[in-house]
Amino acid sequence: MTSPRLGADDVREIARLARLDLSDQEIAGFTERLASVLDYVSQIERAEVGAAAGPPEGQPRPWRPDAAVNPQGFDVADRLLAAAPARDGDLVVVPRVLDAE
Amino acid sequence: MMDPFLDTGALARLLAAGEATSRDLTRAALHRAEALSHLAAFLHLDPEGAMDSAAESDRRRSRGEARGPLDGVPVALKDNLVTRGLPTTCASRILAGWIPPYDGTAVSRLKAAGAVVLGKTNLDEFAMGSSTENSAFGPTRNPWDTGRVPGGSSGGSVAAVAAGIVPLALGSETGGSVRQPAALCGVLGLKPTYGRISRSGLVAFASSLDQIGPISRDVEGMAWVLGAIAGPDPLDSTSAPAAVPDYAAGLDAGVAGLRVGLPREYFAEGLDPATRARVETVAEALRDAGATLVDVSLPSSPLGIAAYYVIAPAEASSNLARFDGVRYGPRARDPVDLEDLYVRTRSEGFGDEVKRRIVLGTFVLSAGYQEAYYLKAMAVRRAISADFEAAFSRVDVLLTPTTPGPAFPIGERAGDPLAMYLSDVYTVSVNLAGLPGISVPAGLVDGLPVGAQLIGRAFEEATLLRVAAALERAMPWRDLRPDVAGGGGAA
Repeated sequence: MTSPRLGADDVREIARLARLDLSDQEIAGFTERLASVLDYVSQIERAEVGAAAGPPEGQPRPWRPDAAVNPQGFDVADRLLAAAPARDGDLVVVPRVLDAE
Repeated sequence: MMDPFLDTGALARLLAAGEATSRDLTRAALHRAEALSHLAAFLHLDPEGAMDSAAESDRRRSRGEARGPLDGVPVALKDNLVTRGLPTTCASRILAGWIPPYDGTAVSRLKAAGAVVLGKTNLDEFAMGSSTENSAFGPTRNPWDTGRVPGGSSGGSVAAVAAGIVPLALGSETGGSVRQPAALCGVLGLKPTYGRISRSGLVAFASSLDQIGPISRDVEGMAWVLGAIAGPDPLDSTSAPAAVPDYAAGLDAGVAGLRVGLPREYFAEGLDPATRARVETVAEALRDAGATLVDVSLPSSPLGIAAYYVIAPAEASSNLARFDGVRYGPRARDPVDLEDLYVRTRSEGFGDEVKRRIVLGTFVLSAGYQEAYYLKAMAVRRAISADFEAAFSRVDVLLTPTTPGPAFPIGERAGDPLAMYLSDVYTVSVNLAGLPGISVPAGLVDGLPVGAQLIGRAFEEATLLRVAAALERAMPWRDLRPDVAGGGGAA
């Protein structure tokens, strides 16, 4: 496995997938810096470690009862709505997704 | 005038003896925060809220209803801990002006213990960085040398404690963001076991690694704050059900008979010789106090940074998808459609390092690369854990340097992400393995602090605090004080 050479077009496409619009200048800088980071990171490909992957064993994975709780208080919906950048009554306003019929 | 460098233990005794009020302490802390504003430790001070809390604390105490040693003590909170009614920005433009609708669990528990929240501290944007230079609101400065970084990402909280503004603060860790700045500013920084403290209300960066960590000038204060905020929480299913011991109870027990492992990979190439000498002094102090030093090996630890810079960005790219301009924070103006709203809000709101990590994380999770990068990194992570497990069958704690050297000049590594990442080379493996680690002041190198790191078995924070307390007695760091007496003035 060789480390891939990320080109400017790759970075632009990955950024698009991540909902980021980067300027040509940003793309150039990111491409160079990401290449040096990926070069360093690629040492894990050569690492002789077992196939077992995943978080360390022994970390807590407790289940909780499927009970309705409201530790934030009953006015939490109002407080959440108050933090939204655009609001109409009890709704958050966003640009139209479906065509108006 | 009161000594601003009094630690939590000393302040708690003054309060209990009626020799100071919480209003005195809080007023002095606010005054000092203003006088030292050139450090840019704080993003937001809350003078009114703090003085109100202090007055309530004083009233409780006068009624004989003080809630414990932290009641009335001023504290600072990293600005990625959500606080009801107080701005929480994560040092990002994308959350500018956001007022959270609730307190995080650690915050509400600290308040319930009576601590007085002075304000919110600076950080690398979304805790992504090792120098606090990546803040959208400007870098925090090291109180020991304002031309140098305090470390990061909890640089504001650490600088506030190191400069004598507050005796205690909360930061957060993903790869060393409490221990590394604590070392570079000469204070104590603890990364508890993953799951020890609820992450509810800690803005997520990499959820399998993130953990809130206290910063303190004294071990006793550290024990108190950990005891106050640790423990299970129904709002975080990864919080551990394990009972919370009285961390302050065994601090005087000493280290006689304790086996201290020195992992040879942590004393190899890349470690500044003067820093190494300071850590060796710490090892000798432990040996003189009755501990046994043992040579151990953690062969996979040198892969820690490489694995971390796959796993952490991968999780970040997913966690930060929620910042899209719909529910909180500023929103791009006049979007033509929903996609445009997302893209422009994010592109205008996030800084360069955050964007880089989102791109990196999106890449390592993408089809064709996930196996080579993400799954391989998770296998390295497991190997790192296994190394620690093997070492802890032979020793009780591990002793390492916290960082490869002292604080570096502001700007020195800003254009070289890899050099910046490597300042966490001794701390990241602890996060990958989910273990507790503490950085203890180890003295000065050319007038700048460096730290020694103690690593323990999962949920054995009490052991780390006991060793730290033995070191506090053997090589006191109370007199490690930066010369910030002038207050304002500098840039």
